[in-house]
Amino acid sequence: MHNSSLPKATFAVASMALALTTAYAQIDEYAVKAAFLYKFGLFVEWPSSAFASPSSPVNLCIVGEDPFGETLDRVVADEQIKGRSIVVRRLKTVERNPACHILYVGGSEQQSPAEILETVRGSPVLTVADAPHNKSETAIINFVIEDNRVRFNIDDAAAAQNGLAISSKLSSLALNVKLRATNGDE
Amino acid sequence: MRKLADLPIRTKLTLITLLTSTIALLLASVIILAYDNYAYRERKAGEISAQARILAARMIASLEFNDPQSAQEYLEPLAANPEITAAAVYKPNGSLFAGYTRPGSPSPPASGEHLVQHFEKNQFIALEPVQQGQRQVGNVYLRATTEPLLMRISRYGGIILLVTIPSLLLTLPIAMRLHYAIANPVYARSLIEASLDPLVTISPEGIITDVNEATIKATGLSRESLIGTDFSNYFTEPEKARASYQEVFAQGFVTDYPLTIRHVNGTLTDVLYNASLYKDENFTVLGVFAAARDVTAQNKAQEEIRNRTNELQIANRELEAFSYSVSHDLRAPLRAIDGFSQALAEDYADKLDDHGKSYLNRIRLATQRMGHLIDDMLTLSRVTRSEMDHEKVDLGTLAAEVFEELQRSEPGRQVKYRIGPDLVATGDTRLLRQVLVNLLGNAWKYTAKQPHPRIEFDVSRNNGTQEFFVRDNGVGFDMAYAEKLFGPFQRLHSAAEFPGNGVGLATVQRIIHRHGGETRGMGTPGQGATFYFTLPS
Repeated sequence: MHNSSLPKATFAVASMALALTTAYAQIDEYAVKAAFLYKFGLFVEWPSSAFASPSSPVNLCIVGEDPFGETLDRVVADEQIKGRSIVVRRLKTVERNPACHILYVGGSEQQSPAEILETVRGSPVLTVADAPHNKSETAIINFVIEDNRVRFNIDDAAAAQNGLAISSKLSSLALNVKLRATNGDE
Repeated sequence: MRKLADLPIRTKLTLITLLTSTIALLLASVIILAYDNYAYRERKAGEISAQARILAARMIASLEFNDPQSAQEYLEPLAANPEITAAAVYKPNGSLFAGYTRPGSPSPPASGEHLVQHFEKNQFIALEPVQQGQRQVGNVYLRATTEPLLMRISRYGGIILLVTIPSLLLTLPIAMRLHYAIANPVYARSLIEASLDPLVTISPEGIITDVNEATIKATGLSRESLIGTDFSNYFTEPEKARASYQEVFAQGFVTDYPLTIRHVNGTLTDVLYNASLYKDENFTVLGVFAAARDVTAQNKAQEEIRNRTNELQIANRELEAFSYSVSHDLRAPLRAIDGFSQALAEDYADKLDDHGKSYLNRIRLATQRMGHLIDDMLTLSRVTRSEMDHEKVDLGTLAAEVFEELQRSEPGRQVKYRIGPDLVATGDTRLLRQVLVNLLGNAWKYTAKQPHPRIEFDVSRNNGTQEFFVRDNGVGFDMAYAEKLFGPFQRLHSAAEFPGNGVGLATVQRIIHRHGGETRGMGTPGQGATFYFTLPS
C-alpha cells in the first residue's frame, strides 16, 4: 500500500503517522513536553550577557511543581544547545535575574505561576508554561493540547521584553503567535 | 555486394566520402548529445538537491517538535513545480513523517531507510539529511522527473539534421571534384570497355587475365568465369588458337588471324585477331593483348557474292546457248525464203512486171541482211562461248590481210592506209582477227563518202601498257553518244546511209574484255573517229 500511486494512499500514510503521534501524546504527554522544553532552546537567541562564558551550560529550571520527574533528565542527558550542555535545576521559587535560561513555570503555593512570571519579566529567561488559567498568567511559550497533540502558542512580545529572539522556524510551528510591537514582522 | 561492385569508381568514392562524413557528423552529434545529457543531469541534480536542502532546513523545527502537519504544509507548495513528482520527510528511524505525491505519480517510499540519492529511468531522487547542529533529525526525499533521453534526442534531431544536411551538401561537390582526379585512371578502363571488339589479355601461359564487355558478349560467360581459364578453350580450333598466341610471343604480333569463337549457346562468331605483346614500364613482357574483329557478316557477304556470281555465270551461259541455237535455227527458214525468192525471180521473170521484181529484190536484200545479222550474232555468241588460246599474235600482219580482203571486196575504192611497226600482243589469233575485221571494216565503211579516205592502225605505249588504235577520217560521231557505241544493236547512223546492224563494236568489246583489256572510242562529227583497245603485251 505504501508504494501505491493512489493519492488516497498518501492520505492514509499521513493520517496513520498523525494517529501514531496522537497515541504517543496520550500515553505520555509530559515526555513530549520534556523534549519540547529543551528543544525550544534550539530556536532561541539569548543575549550574550545571559551566559558567564561561551562554554557555560544552558540552565533548564523547573520552578514549583515538577510534572516531568526523571523523564526530563533522561531526555536532556546527552543533548546540547548550540554547543552548550544542559543542566536541569529544580527550584522552589525564583528571583529576578535567576540563573535560568529556560524556565518551566510549575508554580506552587509558595510562588504562583503569575508571581513567577512577574518576577522574571525583563530577565533573559525563556518562560514556558502549561495552558494558562487566565490571560495574565501567560508565559512566552504556552503548551496547548489540541486534537490530543501537544502544541504551543508563542508570545513574541513577551520574548522581546525578556531580550530574546525566537526563530521564525519555531514561530511557524506555533498555533498562535503574539507579535512583538516594535518590529512586527511575524 | 555485387551491386555495389558494379558501381562506377567515382560513385563509389563519393559514397564513401559521404558515408564517412555522415558517420563523423553522427559521431559528433552523439558525443554532443551524450555531453549535453551529462550536463543536463548534473544541472538537474544540482537544482533538485538545492531544493531538497532548502526543504531540509525548513523541516528542522517540524521534526524537532514532531509537527508533521507543518511539514506537510511545507511540502504542498511543491505542487507549483511540475517536475517534482513526490516528496517526503522521514524521521531518523526511517518512518514517514510527511509526504507529497503529485497526482498521477507513485507515492514516495513508506520507509526512509536505505534510500540513496540517484538517477533512475527519467527521474532523479534527491536525499538530504535534516541536521540540527551535529544531530540528524530526519531526511528529506525529493523525486523529480527528468526529460527522457529520447525526447532530448528528438529535440536535437532537428538541429542535427540542420547541421548534417548542409554539411553533406557542401561535402558533395568538393568530394566529386577531388574524385575526378582520383578516378581518372579509370578512363583507360572505360576505353577498353567501350570497344565493340572483344579484347582479351593473356598471360605467357595462355591464361586469360582480363576481358572486356564485348568478350563477355561473344562467349556468353561472365568476367569471373573467363579470367584464369585457358584462352584456347573458347575457340572451335583450340590448337590454332594456341598457335596464334605462341606466334605473338615469337614475332611480337599477329594480324588478321582467323579464328572462330564459340558462344556457350553454340553460336559461332568468325573473327580476325590482331594481337601484340604488352609490357610494363620496364619493358618486361606481361602478356598478349588481343583484339578480335567480328567478320561473320563479311564472310557471309563474300559467300553471298560468290553464290550470286556463280548463278549469274550459269544464267549467262544458258542465255548464250539459247541465242546460239535460235540464231542457228533461224538460218534454215531464211535460206528457204532467199532461195525461193531467187527461184521466183529467175523462173518467173517473164510473168512479173517491174513492180513485182522490185518487191522480190527487196525481199532478197532483207533476207540477206538478216542472214548477216544472224552470222554476226553467232559470231558474238561464239566469242563468249569458244575456248581461247593465248599466243603471240602479230596484229600488223593480221591488219594487212584484212585490208587486202577489204580491197578485194571493193576494188574500185582508193583508200590510203598505214600500219604501225611491231604491233604484237598476246591472245587468241582468231578472235583478235575478228576485232580487226570489225574495226577496220567500220573504218572502211564510214570513209566511203570521203574523197581522200585514210585509215591508220598503230599502238601508243604508256607506262608498260599498250593501247592499239584504229583511226579514220570518216564521218565520225558525236561524243554525246560515246556510251552507246559498244552496246549491241546500237547504231549512230541509219542503215540507208551506212549498212550495218550494230553488233560489230559489241563483238569487239566482248573479245577485248575476254582478253582482260578495255575499249573506248573518240570522234568528232565529219572529222573521223578513233577506236582504242588495250591488250596485255
